[in-house]
Amino acid sequence: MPGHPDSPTDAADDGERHEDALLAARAGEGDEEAFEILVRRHGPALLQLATRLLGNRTEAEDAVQDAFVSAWRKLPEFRGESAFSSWMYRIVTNRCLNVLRARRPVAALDAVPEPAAPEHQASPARVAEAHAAVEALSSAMAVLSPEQRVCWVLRELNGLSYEAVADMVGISQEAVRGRVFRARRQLTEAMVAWQ
Amino acid sequence: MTADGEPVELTERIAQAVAGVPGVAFLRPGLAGLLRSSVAARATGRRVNPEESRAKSAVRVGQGSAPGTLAIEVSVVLRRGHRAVDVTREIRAAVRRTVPAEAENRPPARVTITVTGLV
Amino acid sequence: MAMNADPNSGSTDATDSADVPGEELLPCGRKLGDVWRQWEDGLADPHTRTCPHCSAALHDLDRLQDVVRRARAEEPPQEDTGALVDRVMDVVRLELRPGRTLPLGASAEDDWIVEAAAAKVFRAAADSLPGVRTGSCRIAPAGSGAAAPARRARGPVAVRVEIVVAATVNLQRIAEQVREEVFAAADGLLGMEVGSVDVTVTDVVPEDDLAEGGPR
Repeated sequence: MPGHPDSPTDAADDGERHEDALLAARAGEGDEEAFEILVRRHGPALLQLATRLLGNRTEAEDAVQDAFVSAWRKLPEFRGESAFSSWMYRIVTNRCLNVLRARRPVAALDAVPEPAAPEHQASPARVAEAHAAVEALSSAMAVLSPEQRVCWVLRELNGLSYEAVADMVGISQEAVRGRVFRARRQLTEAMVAWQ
Repeated sequence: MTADGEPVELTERIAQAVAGVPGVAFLRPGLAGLLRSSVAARATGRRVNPEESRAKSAVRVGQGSAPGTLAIEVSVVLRRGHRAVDVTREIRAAVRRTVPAEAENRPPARVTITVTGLV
Repeated sequence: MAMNADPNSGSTDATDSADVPGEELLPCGRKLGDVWRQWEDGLADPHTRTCPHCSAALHDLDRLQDVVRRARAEEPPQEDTGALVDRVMDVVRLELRPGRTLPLGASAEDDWIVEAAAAKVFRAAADSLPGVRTGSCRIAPAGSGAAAPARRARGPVAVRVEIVVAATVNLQRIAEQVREEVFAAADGLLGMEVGSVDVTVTDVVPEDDLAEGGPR
């Protein structure tokens, strides 16, 4: 399928956007079959986003389900000012932000878990090391504030521009840059601690 | 069902007759019907067979505007590939064939049929 | 402020006003935020290339970005979303929006069809034309005009269809062709009296942008 799920605003194929707009118009008028096509089409990318934001597949599925149901309810008012995929990204992002905010704060940097020792001793050392670094990264992400985490994930893992992140989260580009900076600052700090 | 020989409720007989008409996919009530059945299920604290309760609440039998008449409303989902109005006319005929047995000596019932979906 | 600003300051990022990035100074006097931002924006700076403190700061960031790239590459695809789709659609089917109730059959009859169901048939009819994809399709009861339509009014309905067409389509003829398809479907598939069909072309797009056959 054309259009990379990572960048809904930049890379979405024109044809797919036209098709999404038509399907969204139909779904807004009560065509649940059109809506099902949209859910199938965008579910994987949104689930990936939510999993990145929440770090937990089960919670991510719940968040995406809630987001789609809320989209179904809001579709009659959806006027298509933005692409359907961007609209859904925004709904999922907001839902995940609320989930993160509702979590008990995990508190400060000294709570960063040590990177797990490489489990696969049999595999080549470099692979194990790389894998451990990725594992450590996802643990370190737990110390980010919900706002930092959301901006950092959209920017770094989903590859959105600062402008797109600002649009999605509803804050200024400078505020997004500030949050991404702070997130990077904390993550590099954590990585220095692993050495 | 009639397995135990008990007389079957009129709405249930109508639902069975409608479900047997070619082109009918299933009976489906409006939202009110769905809410009623879920409230009933919660109130009685037992599980209601969703198919059965859905079919029953898709058929409503009330008093017609003329004294002694019945007003019957049926909500159905039809299969594509059948001309909708031909199916609804068949449904009306099937309902009329069912009602006299239950309500003899009455003027013909008013039968309203609403297609709520196509699958 | 030296290299180790309070490490917790970043985690209390509750408000934007508290969010003053890059204030942290490197021993060479440059702000860490500026150094990283220059790197990100691809701006060359003779100082940072030679300064050991800036180089070290960039090295840290580089290591992080390297792990981030690996994390993206390692991530398993989330393709098994079938169960999610089913759960969403189960809820959606309990919250259908059928729209208005419209007359089916002749005026004297008492048969009806909900707008959403009839609209699906009309959209599919218009979609059957090459180079046509249908979006909105609204159906109004006879004589409803601007005022709220009377509940369950009999009589021929008014259909409004919005279509996107391929650039190859003859714009002069396409509206008439769509009208014919909708009238034919109304009579042949539903048995519904249609008084008028208004067709609006909302967009003309390259032929390749129209999905083959459409969603249905």
